[in-house]
Amino acid sequence: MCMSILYVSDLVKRFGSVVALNMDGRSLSVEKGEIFVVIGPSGSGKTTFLRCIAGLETPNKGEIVIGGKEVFSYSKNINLPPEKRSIGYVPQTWGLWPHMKVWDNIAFGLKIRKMPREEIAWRVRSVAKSLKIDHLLDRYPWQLSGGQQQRVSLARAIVLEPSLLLLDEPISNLDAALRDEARIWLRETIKNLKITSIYVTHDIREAFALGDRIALISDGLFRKVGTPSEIYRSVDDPVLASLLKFNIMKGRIAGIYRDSVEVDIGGATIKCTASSNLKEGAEAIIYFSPRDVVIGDGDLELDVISITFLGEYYEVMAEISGKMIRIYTDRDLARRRVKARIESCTASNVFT
Amino acid sequence: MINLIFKIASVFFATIAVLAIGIIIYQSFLGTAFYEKNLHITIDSYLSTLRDHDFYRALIGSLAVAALTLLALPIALLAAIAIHKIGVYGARVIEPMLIIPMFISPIIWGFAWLYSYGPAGVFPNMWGDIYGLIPTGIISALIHVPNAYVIISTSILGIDSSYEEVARSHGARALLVITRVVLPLIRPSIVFSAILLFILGMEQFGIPLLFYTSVGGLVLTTYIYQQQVLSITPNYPKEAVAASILIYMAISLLLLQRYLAMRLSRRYTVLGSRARSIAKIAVSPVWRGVATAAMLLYLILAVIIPLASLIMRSFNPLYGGRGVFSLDYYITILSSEYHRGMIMNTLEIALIAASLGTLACIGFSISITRSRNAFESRLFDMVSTLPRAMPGIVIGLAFLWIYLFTPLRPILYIPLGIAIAHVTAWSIMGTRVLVSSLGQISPELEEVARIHGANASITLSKVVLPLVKRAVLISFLVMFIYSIRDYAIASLLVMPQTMVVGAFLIMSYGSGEIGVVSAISSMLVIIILAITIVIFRLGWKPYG
Repeated sequence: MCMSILYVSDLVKRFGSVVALNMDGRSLSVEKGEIFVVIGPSGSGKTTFLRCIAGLETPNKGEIVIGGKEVFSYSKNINLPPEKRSIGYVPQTWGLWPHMKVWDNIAFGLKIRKMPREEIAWRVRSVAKSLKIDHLLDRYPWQLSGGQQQRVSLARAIVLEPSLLLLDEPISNLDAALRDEARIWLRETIKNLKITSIYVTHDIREAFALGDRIALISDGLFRKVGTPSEIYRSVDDPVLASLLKFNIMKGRIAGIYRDSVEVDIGGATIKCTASSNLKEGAEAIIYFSPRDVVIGDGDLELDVISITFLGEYYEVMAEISGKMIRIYTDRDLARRRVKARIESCTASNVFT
Repeated sequence: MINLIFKIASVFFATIAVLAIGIIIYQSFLGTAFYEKNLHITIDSYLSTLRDHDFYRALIGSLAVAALTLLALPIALLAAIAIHKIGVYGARVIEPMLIIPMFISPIIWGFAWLYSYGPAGVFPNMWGDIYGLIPTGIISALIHVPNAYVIISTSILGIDSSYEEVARSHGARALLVITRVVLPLIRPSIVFSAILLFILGMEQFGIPLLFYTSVGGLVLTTYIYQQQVLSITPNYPKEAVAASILIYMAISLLLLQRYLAMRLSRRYTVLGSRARSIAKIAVSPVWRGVATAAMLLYLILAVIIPLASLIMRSFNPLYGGRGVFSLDYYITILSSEYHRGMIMNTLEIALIAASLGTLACIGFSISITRSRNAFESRLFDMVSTLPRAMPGIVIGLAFLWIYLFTPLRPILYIPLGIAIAHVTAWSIMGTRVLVSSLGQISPELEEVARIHGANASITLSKVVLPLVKRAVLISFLVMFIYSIRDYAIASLLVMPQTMVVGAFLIMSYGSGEIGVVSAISSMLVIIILAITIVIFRLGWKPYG
């Protein structure tokens, strides 16, 4: 066991015969002050992971340690209820109690802990001030805007000074315009308070903007854990690729070099970095970003199928060797057939 | 531990519901009374009861009344279309007048019909002889129109108007839209209403007692009542067989309803996640006028005249309903210790039943909606619905036996005895209100409370209950109304010291105390109307 704030190992959660989370044989730890983002498509098991840590679901196997305290252990038959785990929680719809004013929402956990009244007042005020909601304390949740509600929900969680803060897509309910602002604000706030956080989302941009580390989960399995740049630089997983809207193509290894491989995609060859041990002649999958396709020169010939103007750039759907790919470009293409090259791509033999 | 109290209440009433239904069915398979020695299981009682001529007459009588009760269906259907689709004038007044009668007990309706259209009524024999099988069935149908109306209304309001608008813009006239679009879409609710009406008709006790027994007719409920109350030596096995047969029929019909609900829901699902728009079908003002006039005529004849006659009669000592105004009957009632005690008993029992019932309803609804154990949730759902398969008279009989032959006997002589039977019979009403209310609370609200330090009890008392307090209050009032309107359960459980209004009305039938009966009934109607208005004001919706 290490000195991390959260340590999880061998966690398995089944719903009937469906395995929603499978960390059997694996462990994961989150260090103090870290923002750890869990990203995955819907139904991937990310919320189940969060709920197991919170104590809202009982895992079928494994152990969970929060702040050095064992809160769940299947083998030792330990399972602390949610209220004994010293956690703060910001749910997706913020979960503000509509019958309580903002003040009572924030003070709820403090009152339950039977703190002296003066201390409750002091704590609520200072948290509200730091989150710039001190003028809203006398209002009901339904009198607040979405952004304000989200702040109140966060205030309610951090006023308890929890060892671990759990956030379940807390900004997905905001308007697109507010979301960018909230992302920056949230990271700054959490970092300033130095609270260790687990943040669950399905939005890759949110994950990159907020996370110190990112874990990719799909089908209940943790597939990748790393810093945002590590994750972005090594896209060799179909789930990650689809979250990032990367292009995925099948091909065959045509040549192996020291630091790259050549992949034949049927009529054309593309040079890629190899993410795993590949053999000449073997089947492979290549991943590349729509931005990494440079139009104008190169060996590849593309048939442009559609062009959509999206304001900052054009999204082009084009066919290459009978397969459709997506390209982002600043140029308005008039011609039906264009030349192109792929600047950067990853080849992998992972089939999922 | 507040949730422990709810748990205990729900487990207690679940157990007693199973015990009540169990004792009836157990007794039906015994040759002798269940408290005797040397009992053995046999179907002899079934065989001998089936050979009983009176039982046959009662069975056929029950089925006939049930079939005639189906006449409520076309009236309810037309009323629902008139209000929701054609848009009658003054629907805000007309609709409550259509629904509220649901809360007034059949025995009071019986007296209302007797004092309006009966031989000594305000409009003597206006529709001909009011006694006999056919009048019994028709009156039973008329007082159950609201029950069918609320089911059909739910369904009509579930149809997105775009279906009708498309038909309209493709050339269909209003009548065609109703017959070709609206009616086919609400077909399941018509079937459900028919099943419900049949069950209600079969379980009917007060109406047949007033209008059918006097001409020598029998239905299963009056058969049981006669066997238990009017015969010198009650024949337990025979009563149990008659009661069990009522239970079997009701359970089969309820299961049929569930089966159809599952089968039909897929074919007729018209609700998407998209917000619905509900609009009236545009018809000419003439047709709206015609529909309004028809609705008013129905309400005047079937609701207003009977109730007004009942109230008029209570202020009028002279036979025939035309004479001087007098408060004599009210003065008689209020100055008589017996009558005053009876009214106080009724209110006391209703208060106990509503309080205990609310605890049970909260317990049931929390187990149904919040239990993490699917089996527990289903079990409570089923057990709380179980008493629906038992007519009031059968519940009364079951509790009489439970009290007489178990250590619970002392509570038969105190108000608690009847109150427990009332809670068992009607906790499902409050449970439904709470289940739908709890279903609207996002689980996140409770989860956040748990994670932030509240245990299950605090979460319940600080978060869940404050959020459903209106529903809790509505459950309390609904249970209160059902308790004071009861006559069937009390008619078997009542003791001199626990005499209640409902049982008194049953016993006064034929006693000639018309004035006192009408005055007490009127008082009950006023109390029920007042509480019903409060319930409506609290936001209770009969449907939708």
